[in-house]
Amino acid sequence: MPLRRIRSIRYKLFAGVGLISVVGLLVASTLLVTYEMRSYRSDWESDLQTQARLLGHTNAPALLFHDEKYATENLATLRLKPLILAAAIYDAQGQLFAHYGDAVLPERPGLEVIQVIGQQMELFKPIVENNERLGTIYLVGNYEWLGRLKNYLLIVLLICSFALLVSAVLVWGLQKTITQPVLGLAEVARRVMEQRNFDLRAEKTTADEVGYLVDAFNDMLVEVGQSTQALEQSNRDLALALTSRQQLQQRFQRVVESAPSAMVMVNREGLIEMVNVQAERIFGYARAELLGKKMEILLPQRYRAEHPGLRTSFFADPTPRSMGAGRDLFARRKDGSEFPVEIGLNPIEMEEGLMVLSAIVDISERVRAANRLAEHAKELERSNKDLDTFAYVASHDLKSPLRGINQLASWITEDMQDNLPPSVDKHLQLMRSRITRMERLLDDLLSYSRVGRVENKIGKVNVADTVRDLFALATPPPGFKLVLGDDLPVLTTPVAPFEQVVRNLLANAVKHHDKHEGTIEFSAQYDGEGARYLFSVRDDGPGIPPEFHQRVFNMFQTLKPRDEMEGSGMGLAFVKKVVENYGGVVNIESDGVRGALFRFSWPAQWDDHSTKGAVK
Amino acid sequence: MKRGKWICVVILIGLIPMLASLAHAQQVTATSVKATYLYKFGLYVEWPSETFPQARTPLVIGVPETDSIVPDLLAITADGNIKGRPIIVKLLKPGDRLNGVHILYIDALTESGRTLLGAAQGLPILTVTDGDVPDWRKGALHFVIENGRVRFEAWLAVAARQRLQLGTQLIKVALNAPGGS
Repeated sequence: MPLRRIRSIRYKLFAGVGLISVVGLLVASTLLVTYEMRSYRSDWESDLQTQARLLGHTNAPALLFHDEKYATENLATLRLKPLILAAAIYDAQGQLFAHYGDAVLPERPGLEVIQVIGQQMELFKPIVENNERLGTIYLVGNYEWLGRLKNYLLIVLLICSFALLVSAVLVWGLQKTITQPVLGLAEVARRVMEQRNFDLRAEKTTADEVGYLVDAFNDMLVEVGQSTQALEQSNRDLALALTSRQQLQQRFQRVVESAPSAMVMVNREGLIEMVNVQAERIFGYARAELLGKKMEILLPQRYRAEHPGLRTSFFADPTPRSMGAGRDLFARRKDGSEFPVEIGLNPIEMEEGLMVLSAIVDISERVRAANRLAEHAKELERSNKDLDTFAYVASHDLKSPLRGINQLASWITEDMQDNLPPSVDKHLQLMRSRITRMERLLDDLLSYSRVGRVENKIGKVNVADTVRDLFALATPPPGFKLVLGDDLPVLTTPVAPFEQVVRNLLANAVKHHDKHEGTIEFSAQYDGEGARYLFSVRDDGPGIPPEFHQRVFNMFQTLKPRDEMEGSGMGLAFVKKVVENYGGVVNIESDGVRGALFRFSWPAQWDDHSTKGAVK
Repeated sequence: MKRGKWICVVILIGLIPMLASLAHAQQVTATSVKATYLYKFGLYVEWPSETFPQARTPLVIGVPETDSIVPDLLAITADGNIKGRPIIVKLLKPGDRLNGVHILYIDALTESGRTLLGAAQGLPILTVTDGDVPDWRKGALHFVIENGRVRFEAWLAVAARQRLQLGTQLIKVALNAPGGS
């Protein structure tokens, strides 16, 4: 159908209505023309019959009474009817009785008939009067049916053209009403498709089916827009996820690549998926030699059989863990040599599935260092033991002659009694004092050497009470007083070391005071972060110049001559060693003009790990 | 001899239509034409309604029994009718009454004719006269011979006196149609 080839509904409608109009008009015109021509002929026949009847009736007397003149005159009146071309009257015997017109007349009348010959209609009709046939009338009419037909066709053509024109105008107007909304809809649809713009809307101009269509179309646009938006968003998210996943993977590869340890990633089947440069280095393989191979090639022969089972159990419970806890692990290089390793296992969810990423650290150096350390420790222990023995032997063996000398000196004093010259007596006293100092020095040296190597009893220490007792034992001059800080704790701690530290500090404060009166303050402060107490011993003595703050903690260091100040010079060295042995620090604050503040920290809670060497 | 005989036969055969035509011509005489006209006049004349009480009331044509037209008239009207009415030819004797006569034919030159015409005065009778007489003696219709052909005159005044109405078609074919004399 040609209509199908027309792309626009507007022209389809136009063509359709035009076609229908043309067909309708053609059919109507044909019927009309046919009817008209039949009617024309019928009218003509009727006219001719009537005319013949009338002439017959009029001329019956003329026939009857043989008045040809009258008949001729009567027929001559037909000149008033130009359409009648000729007429004739025949008498009862068939003789021509009268005639009109120039036409060639039949010699004899025919049967009663009416017929069309060319453009003429002729008629023979009997003239009957009083049931008697008087004659026949013959009429010839100018039956211009062809001209009539032409005129009629022309009129029909004009009417059809006009009708088509009016119909076209009407259809044009009508199609606007009908097709305009449809075309508008189509235009919006086209723009939507071209621009992919689902925010466009068709305008609803009618409330008919097209209006309903427009509503449905707009609703559909909303839904499509939303779906598209969701789809695009989803695509963007997906692309973003893909990109970030790729970035993540690349970053992961970079991280793995730059890791200081060897990294080997293995899939469920035990095939190597990824290695880094460290792995290449420590195993001596090129990357291409490792990828896709069974990871068991990196194990010593003796471990290879059991490893797949271990891997399966790891994949059954994929959590980060160290491999072979408590066991010595060894890996195998390409050249067959083995080396100790530490391996951390991490499950990694990759696109290809679950993998295990192994971080392998070559601990050959560490093992060697540990071995060396163990040897050193052993050596140190032996050396300590020797020192211990030496100290004990030394103090014991040295103290025996000292005690002998002291004894001899006292015997000399006793023997000489009053005969002893004062200078000798003074020298003897000085000698005995130095012997005593020597003995104390030996005792202190022994104690010092035993710090950290003697097991001390753990007990509860009421710091306030202990400080008070120790202050009394320090035999301070009567003008001295002790001020205790608030909230001094009760500690559970090795008792003896703590008391040694406090005693030494108190004794130090009293002993080095340059006045007859003095105040010694003892306070404590809790350091929650380090789980320690920070104890302070403040005196108002002469102080220690800053340049000596470090030296005072060295052995045998005194700021005054030994004879002037009784002491071994071991006190603060001893304090420092004990405090440090329990993980603490000791320091001094003093301007060297007046007063000194010693601070040391001490574990607030006691457990086996509070100190490193306390139990040895 | 023989050939001459055949020629004679052919000539005779050829002459037959001519002879027949001649015989016919002989039959169509002025009298017979007049008889025919007399009979046909009934078609174009209107009588007063009481003249024909019934549809089948016969039309009576009265003629003096001695008139030469009688044989032709009887022959022509034998099976005829006028507007469905049978035709009766009434042969009149001198002194007969004209009751029931519708058409009266007389030769106006005769005495008996003049008497009959006088008797018909005022009656609804179509008087048809013949003969060369003055106009005042003519009937409503009067036969004349013109160019050897039988024609008739129509005298409307006479017809009116007879209470008759002559048909227009009849008047039109009449030689003249004066309003009266």
